[in-house]
Amino acid sequence: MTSAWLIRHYALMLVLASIVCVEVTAGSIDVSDARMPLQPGVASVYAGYFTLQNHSHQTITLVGVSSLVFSSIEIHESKLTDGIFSMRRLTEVSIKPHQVVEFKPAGLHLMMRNMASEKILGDSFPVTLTFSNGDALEFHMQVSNDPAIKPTSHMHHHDNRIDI
Amino acid sequence: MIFLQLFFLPRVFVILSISTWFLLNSMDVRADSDGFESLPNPVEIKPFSLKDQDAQLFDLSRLQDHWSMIFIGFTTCPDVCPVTLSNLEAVRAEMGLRLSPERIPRILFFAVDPERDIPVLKSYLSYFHPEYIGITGETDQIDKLIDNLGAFYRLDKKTANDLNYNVLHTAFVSVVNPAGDIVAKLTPPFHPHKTAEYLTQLIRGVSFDD
Repeated sequence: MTSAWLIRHYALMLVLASIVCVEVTAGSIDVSDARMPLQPGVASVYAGYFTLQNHSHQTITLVGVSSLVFSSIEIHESKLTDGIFSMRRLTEVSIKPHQVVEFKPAGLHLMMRNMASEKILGDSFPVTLTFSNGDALEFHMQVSNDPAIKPTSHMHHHDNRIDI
Repeated sequence: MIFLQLFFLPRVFVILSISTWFLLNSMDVRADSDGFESLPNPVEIKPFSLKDQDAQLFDLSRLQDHWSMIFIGFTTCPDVCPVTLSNLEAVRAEMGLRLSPERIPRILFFAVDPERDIPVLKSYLSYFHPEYIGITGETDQIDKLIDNLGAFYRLDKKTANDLNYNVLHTAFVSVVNPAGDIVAKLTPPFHPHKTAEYLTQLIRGVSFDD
């Protein structure tokens, strides 16, 4: 193999890769850090957090979230405006090409109601995201103890608490 | 070429500066504050009558002889309230290295949605920490203390039968001294280390006759 051969084929691969990426599939979006902080037993509402990363060249729009564990899951956003915390429901969230959107405490989050049973919760449970193009993406959401701490990696900070 | 540089560069600079200014203004609500504010004049808390999570009277006398941090919230708040309680607990843990336990402020969770809060307040708070004190009560008494704190809340019911309503509430935490006066306000992000440093100085700087 000469280097010229490699360069030619590398260019070809790049072209092919860009053609593949035009198609928006769930494969072009990543979910990480998915977690649900435990709430007191009396709680009727739970919050879910995760990070979405759009690897494609097209905007991807999240339009629905579902799980066997909760009969109602809505997308909400907490906002701090002039010193007042408020919350609103969103019907969709758009993730621009190569954008990372973080669902995190005091920001975008899932509002999950009507838990089917604590028994099926376990250490993690499946959640499905649906997108405007009809694609669906299933992942596991980890049950965590501390709302301010992410369960996984990203330890490049001196600590990994979340500022709100 | 020189003409081009003279003509364009200053404009580019101006445009960059303006866009940077907009960016800085839009991206960070905390840019203009450290997250805490000492009140120039302590605000005296006027008499009020609420109940704690054990249904015991909680009035002015129960604010005496302790430092307290009053956080306004509600129990059906899965997002902002738990993370704030968790951050305040981290503040207390940091202060434990510098102050004796009796001088570390207690956390008072001021629940402003009594209809939904009263039945669950005790078990809700014991989940987070056995020492948290929850206070709530009749609406007129809640409103009295809210006014006194200079705070605000609203039950955001969409209809009369709305059960899943949200509650808008002030984000700041009021710091109350052992005389029962509001002496400072903490605002988000409640950064544990900086807030603990600030409170430690505040508490050490004030002496009370024991």
